[in-house]
Amino acid sequence: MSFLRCENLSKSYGQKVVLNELNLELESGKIYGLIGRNGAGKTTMLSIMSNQNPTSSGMVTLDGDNIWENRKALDRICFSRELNITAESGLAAYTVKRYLGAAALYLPHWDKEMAAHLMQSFQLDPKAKLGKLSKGMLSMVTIIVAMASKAEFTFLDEPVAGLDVVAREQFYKLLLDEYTETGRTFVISTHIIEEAADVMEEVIILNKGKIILKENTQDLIDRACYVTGLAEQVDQAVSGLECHHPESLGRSKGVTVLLKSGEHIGSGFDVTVQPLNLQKIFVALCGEEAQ
Amino acid sequence: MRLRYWAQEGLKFTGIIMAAALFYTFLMIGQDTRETWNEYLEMGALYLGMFGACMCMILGTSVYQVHAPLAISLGSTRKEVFLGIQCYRFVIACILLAVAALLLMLTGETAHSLVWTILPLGVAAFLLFNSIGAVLGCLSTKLGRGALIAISILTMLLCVGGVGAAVLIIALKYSLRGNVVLVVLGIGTLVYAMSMIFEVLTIKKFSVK
Amino acid sequence: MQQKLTEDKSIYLQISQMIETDILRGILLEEERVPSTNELAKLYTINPATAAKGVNILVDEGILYKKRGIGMFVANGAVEKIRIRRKNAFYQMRLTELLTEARSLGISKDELIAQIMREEL
Repeated sequence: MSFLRCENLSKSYGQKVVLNELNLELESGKIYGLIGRNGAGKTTMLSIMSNQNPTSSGMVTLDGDNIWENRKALDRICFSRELNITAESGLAAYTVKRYLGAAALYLPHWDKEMAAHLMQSFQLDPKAKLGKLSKGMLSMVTIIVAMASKAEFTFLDEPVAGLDVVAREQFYKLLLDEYTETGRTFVISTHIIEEAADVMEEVIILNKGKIILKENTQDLIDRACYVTGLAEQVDQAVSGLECHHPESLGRSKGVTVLLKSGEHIGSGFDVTVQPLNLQKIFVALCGEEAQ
Repeated sequence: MRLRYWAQEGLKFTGIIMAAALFYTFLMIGQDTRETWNEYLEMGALYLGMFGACMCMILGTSVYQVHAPLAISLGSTRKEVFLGIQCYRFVIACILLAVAALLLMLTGETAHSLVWTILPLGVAAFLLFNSIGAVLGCLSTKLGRGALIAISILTMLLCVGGVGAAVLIIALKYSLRGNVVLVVLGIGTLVYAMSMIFEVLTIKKFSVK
Repeated sequence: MQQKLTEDKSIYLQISQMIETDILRGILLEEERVPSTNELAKLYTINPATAAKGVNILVDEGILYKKRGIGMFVANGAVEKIRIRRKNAFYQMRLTELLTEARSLGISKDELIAQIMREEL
């Protein structure tokens, strides 16, 4: 069992604080989902956790060793980030083959056969230039790098952006196949929360530069519920409980409740209690508008 | 050590430079048939050195805009990137100077003149132009496109003058004494060393955008 | 085991209920091997830990048992156990729901019984 930890991680760009004394502990051998609003700092966090970005303060450790410029630690980590290829960026002229060739040179556990096999099943032309690929195909390239890296800790930033629903299903199956076979640790950031919820063992919610929640996905879904009814009834039924995102319509009120172990919605009140999916829980926790 | 990527990229770049130099030489041959064979070889060697040094300066930013981010995004440490950049420049300079020396040997240039005058000047040229490329590259990580283009143009104008001076020196190569060559080489090394310090400071904080 | 997962109930509960239903329907027989958690995970595109949670519910209830190194098997008497539990759940939830709804609609017990007698079972 290995541990990848962010310890009091802070990152600022000038006056703008992106990550604020963030603490996170990742156990090896799980698929983690990283969700957060745009600009919450997901890419920055993953970037720092893979030596691609220096911290402003705090550090990232792997089994206690600081990963910064640490060759041994970095051999176990791979962050396949979204390839942002503009027409002018030099990488646009790289062919898929050349890019994967560079990956093969750098990633110590690179699996050549897997990369070739995935290129075939994604129907990617090795001679195609990165600048000419569609967003979906670029996503496929980043997926190939992540999978074939065979890194113990693999991070993917929005891997399914640009993929149609069939391709996304293929990705989840690929991810599960690889996970069940190797037990590698994956951290996957995504905006398509509901689809990914089934695949993620634990969900990590990043909001405004801090981790507000890290929990087993099923446990979180089990303890969340949506209570609706007459406003006064609802207020009494949920008194003392952790409530989020209250919504009012006329005399009725709806509120998202996260029950702690042993807690229940107050009985005897005329309210409807419904389960919530992960996406709705996320919106309740991170969407501020209704307040 | 992950230098293979940098060495490979250096070789690719060298190939491009040699092709450009060859093309230009043939262009010159096509224009003026009065020159002797020897003079064409000398021209070829000169162009190799010129194109090589100039390209190193002008495209010094690609190392920081393309190769370094790629390397770091694939797990390279910044120390490896720094060494890789040196390796990249070393490969280019070595091959181009070696080929240039070969061409000059074919013209009957003496080994003595080659080793004590021409090659040191070639090395000095590469050191100087690479330092400029290094500084421009480091600046490219901090400045926007506009500022960078302005600085690059200014530098290029400076260097056109510098290249002119280099051509002059080589034309006068027979009248040069060893001391001047050593001084030029010394200056080149010093300037490069300073640019390396700037590079180290830049790379230490390098982040992939 | 061909049903799709729905959104209204926890996934691991759906997994355990699907396995139970298959046992009741004779798709999985007693003393027969049940798909492994990895196989279930791949089949439904869910995390193996979630599949394991569903399977463990059935292990705790004595409906499945584990043979070390080989896998999960349907326990002897599982069919009867499941039938009894579902019957109790039916009475506890569906019947109570039915009676509550009937009361709020003003349907008397006699009216309800008469209607039931008219239905085919």
